[in-house]
Amino acid sequence: MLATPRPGRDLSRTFGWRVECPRRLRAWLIRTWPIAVLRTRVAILVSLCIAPPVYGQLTVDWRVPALGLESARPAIADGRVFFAGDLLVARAVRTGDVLWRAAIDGDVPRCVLATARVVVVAGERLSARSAATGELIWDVALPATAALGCGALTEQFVVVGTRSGDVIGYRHDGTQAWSRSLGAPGSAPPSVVRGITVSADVVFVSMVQLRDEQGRTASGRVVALDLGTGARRWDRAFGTGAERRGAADAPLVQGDVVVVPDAFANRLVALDRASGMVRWEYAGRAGHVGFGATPVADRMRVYAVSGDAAVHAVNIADGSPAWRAVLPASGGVIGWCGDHLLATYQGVAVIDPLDGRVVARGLDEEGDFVASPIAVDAGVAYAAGPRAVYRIQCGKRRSDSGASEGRSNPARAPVRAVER
Amino acid sequence: MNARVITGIALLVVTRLAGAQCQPPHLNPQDTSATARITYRAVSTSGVVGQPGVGASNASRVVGNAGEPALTTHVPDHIVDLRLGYDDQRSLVVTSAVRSPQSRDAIAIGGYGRVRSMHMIRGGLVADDGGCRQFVASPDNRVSGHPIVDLQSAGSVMQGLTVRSEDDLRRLGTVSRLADGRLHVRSVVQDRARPDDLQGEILMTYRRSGRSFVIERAEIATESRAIREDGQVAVLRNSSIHEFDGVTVVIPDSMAEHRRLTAAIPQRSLILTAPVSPAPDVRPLARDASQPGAFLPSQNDGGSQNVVFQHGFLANGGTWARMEPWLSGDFAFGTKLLPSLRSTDRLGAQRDALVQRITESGARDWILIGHSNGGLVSRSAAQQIPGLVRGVITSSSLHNGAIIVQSGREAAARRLEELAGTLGNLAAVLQMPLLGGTLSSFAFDSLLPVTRDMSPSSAFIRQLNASDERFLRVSIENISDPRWVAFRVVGDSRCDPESGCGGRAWVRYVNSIYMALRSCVPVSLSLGFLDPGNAATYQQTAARCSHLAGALDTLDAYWNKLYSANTGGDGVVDSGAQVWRGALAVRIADADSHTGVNRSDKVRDALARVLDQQFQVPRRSGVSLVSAASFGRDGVAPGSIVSLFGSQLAERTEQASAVPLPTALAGATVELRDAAGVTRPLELFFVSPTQINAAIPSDVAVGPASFRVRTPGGLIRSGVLSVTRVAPGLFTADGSGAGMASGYVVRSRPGGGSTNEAIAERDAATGRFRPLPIELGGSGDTVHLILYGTGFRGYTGAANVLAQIGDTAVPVEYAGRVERNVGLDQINLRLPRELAGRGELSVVLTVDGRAANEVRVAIR
Repeated sequence: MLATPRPGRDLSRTFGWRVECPRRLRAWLIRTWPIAVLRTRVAILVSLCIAPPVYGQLTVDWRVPALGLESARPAIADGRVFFAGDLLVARAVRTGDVLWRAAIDGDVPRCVLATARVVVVAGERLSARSAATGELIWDVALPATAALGCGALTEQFVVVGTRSGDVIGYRHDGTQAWSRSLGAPGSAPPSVVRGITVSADVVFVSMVQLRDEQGRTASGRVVALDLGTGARRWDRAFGTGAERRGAADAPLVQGDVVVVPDAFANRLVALDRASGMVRWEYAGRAGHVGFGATPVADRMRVYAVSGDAAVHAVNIADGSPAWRAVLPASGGVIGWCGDHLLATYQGVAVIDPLDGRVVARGLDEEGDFVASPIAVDAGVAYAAGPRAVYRIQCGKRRSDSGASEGRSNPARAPVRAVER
Repeated sequence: MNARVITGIALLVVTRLAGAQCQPPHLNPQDTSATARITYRAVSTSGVVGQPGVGASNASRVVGNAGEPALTTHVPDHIVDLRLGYDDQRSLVVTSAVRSPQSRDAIAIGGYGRVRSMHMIRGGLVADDGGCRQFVASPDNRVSGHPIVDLQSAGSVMQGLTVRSEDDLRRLGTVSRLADGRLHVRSVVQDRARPDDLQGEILMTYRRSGRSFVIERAEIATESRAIREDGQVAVLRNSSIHEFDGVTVVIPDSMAEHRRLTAAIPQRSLILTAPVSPAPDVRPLARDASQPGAFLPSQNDGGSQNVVFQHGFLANGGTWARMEPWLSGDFAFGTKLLPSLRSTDRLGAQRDALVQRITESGARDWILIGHSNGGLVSRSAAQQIPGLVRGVITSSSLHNGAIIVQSGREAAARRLEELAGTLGNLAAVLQMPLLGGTLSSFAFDSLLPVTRDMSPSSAFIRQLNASDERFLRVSIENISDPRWVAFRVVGDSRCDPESGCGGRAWVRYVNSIYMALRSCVPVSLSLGFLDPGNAATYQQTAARCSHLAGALDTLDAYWNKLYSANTGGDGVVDSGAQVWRGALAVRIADADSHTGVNRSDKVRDALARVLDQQFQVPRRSGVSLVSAASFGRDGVAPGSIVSLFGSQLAERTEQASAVPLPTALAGATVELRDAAGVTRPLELFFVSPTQINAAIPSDVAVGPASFRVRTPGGLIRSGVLSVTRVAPGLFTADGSGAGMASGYVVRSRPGGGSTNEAIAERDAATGRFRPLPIELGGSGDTVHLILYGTGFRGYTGAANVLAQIGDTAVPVEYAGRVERNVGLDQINLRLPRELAGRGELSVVLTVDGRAANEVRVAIR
């Protein structure tokens, strides 16, 4: 039995509701549509092809028009969800109504960072605004754009990384606490910071170390810094050979493992949290734009979506594959949504983390799809597309919703079907 | 070029560029320090005379005729002097334009009233008052007014005024024959509508040249009256003499010809007063293949990532008319090329044209984005110039050949074979079946030579896939729902995919029809059961519905089999063909069809992700401030011209019409806060929703600075910049920041006298600038290369201004501002004779250790 839905044609356009019908059966029904035995054929069609709607676990609470392309990862805090693109837009989580908006100048930030009091965006400049009113609180210039990587917001610091390999910690009043240049020694090509994750008192920085100016060859790097001082704890490069490697997004810190997505080689790289030693690497299908977004994890597995049109579940202990759920198209990002995984592929798929079964798909109508990363809060996901922003519910709330680290997976039934 | 061979057009056109028509520039007559700015274009029979540009002057007050204040401005390249005054609406007027003695070829025509452009055409005078009316010196010595929109009819009036015979000259005015055979033509000028406002006379001298008559000289004397604001009548008298030096002046035969000729006139002022992007009427319409081989002008958004958008089969650059602005809104590209190649040519020929276009640009680090065949052309070009190409992204490209091409050729062959079969034994004797295949191949190869390269087994594709590719490669594979994909293709070829007439809608419509037909069957049968008397009719209806639905099914199945052998794809290129081995793939399911992917938001999203993840190009928002010449983002200099790019910068397009330049245009303002904490507004040349051209004040403090753009809508956009003592940039002919330099050559001869010569000209057919090789001439000639730029007037010493052409250092005889031109700098280079015969060379200017953008000149 396949873990993914039956390979059939989506007849929803034909009948107005979701139908999963095996291709061969459908073709046979259409070819042999003798009028004399119509009732029989209809009976077969109804009994074999029409299944209950499979969108039962995917609900779009609201859909409101986007103000431009809000491509940054949204953030949620204190009843507000913040989207960013050309503009920084604060919306009410319940209705999607615009609470305030402000212009973003220069590069579009990759993420919005928010608390109940302040919302921070990092592009060409680092700006902090009041979460309630949008009023600019402080604004500082950065040595280079920070728009290619997500920063991190902690109780004490805002940590951002730049396209030139600088990682800077700012206090909440906008003053600089520390700064580290992580450009590879003796290397003229830049080291691009693609993401920052803070766990406990450690800043994990994922980077692309270009080895020529055009980026035709590159390595991946993960650097661990001390949150308070910026002191380097360890620095690990991967893919130093002839191939092109590099981190695509912020690292995932789960237990004692740091997992980095590599979009160049379509790999997940797991490093030891304490030492930075490579523990395992997991390779997706070759020849595809690879893992481009930070994975999510529970205690057993890492879940990541790849450009090879699949969601991969990997055992966190050894990097062995658990299951692979096929998506209709190249995947974008992944996040938790209630008890399920929500993966985007210019549409969204709700996936059972146990076995990779795609239990629902939605927002895949033509022209009405998700193009941004996902922000999740209390089992509800928020995402944006070219035309609209969405609030999505995927089912019941996960029992232990929390930060990206530490999502525990309660003991559940063993993995069933696997497609490898 | 031979002046007699090439028919020139009006040698001087004083024109305001884009902006409000029928609204003359505004000046305050009470302002004795009033200034004026005029843009103009000029050509001669030998090409460009000097350089067109913007003349901006802080002219001192001149007491003109009848005590009327007048302004004299001097355009920077010494072509003409323009005398300006006021008219009855307190508006700036051109009262005369006079040839400069330094310019042997140039001429100018006296003007009148709110004249904004003046054309001397075949001996007649057409004065354009700024878009509202034209005044034409008519054959009956009267002046007729024509609406500008009726230029065609104005041209018709002039149609008979050829100077090929004496009779034609008589239509211009009273003709008298001089002793030496020359002719005098005296023409009275009068405004028919307002005869009191303008009166005058033009005396033209013609000499015979072969079968035609060539104008030599024109003496113009006009008097115009205007009511000043205080109610007094002002009289403006203009008199000027113009030497034509054997120029043949022609009238355009049609509106199209008029546009072609005027479009051929380069407009450097475009850089200062208009968007760098091509004017809307220059940009080919989507799917408009009327001008194969034409290239769009280069563009530059002030970013660093150069990009080529390469179209596919039976398309041109206009196929990117939606995607390119989309992506340009997301990413700050550097130089953008949207070449229009002959899409039916062999792919190798298209590749060569693209390579030439890229290398001519002088820019590096290109990302080539190709659709369909454009992907193959881009790949092949990148294989040839790997050093210039950073990567290639293809979308719906047939990397392994298209089944549909092979199917089409085979189907054509079968048709011919069937035809041969009808000829019976004769065909057998003549082996027509074999001939059928040959004929069809011949037809395909003759009409669509590119199809030879698009077949799966073509030599081009085999070689392409076997060649080394050392650049970043990404293939976007578009897979459409196979159901009704043929209709999707049709819809997408007509409209944007998501529109009501696009492919997505077509699928819905066809599916609805199909379901109605299918539903019709049981309904009809049921009705027949209930109404036995008409059972036969109902059964017929059911049969027809079933037949039509079956026909739709058959058509759908046929197309899927034809183009993809039922393996799926985008409706034209099958999924297997889209696989580019060795490249990273991005797969789009439920994609739009082949004809719509270039306008698909799904492809836009995929391209944005690829540019971000694979090429590390950040998305851009807000506004960026760059040098208007080089588009460099590494600082701007005091007193230089800058461009700001962004979105929602102004509500409309507007340009300044006078100096001092305004600090607000169309409600938009730009403030700069310098390192000393001083905030001041920038003077603005031009604003539009996406671009602002402005001048950095000369006294701004060096160091980090910030700027804010305020728009009428209250939206404030801001950014940072670095002000440096110098930030040299050289203007280019096409305004892209790379390629042929903007400038001219001054040739001084031993016996005295000098001439100005162009160094580049715009090819009217292709829209591209091509070099005019500089002839270094005889041993006594002294040749100076004059280049325009900005941001280098603040150099610390003459020794720190270095120029190199090719690998040869050339002496710099002047570097500094162009008087009376805001922000414009000029550098004069004396060309050594050792450069002779070196061909096209790069010019590298270094000021205080900072290099300007590289521009190119050609030396014979």
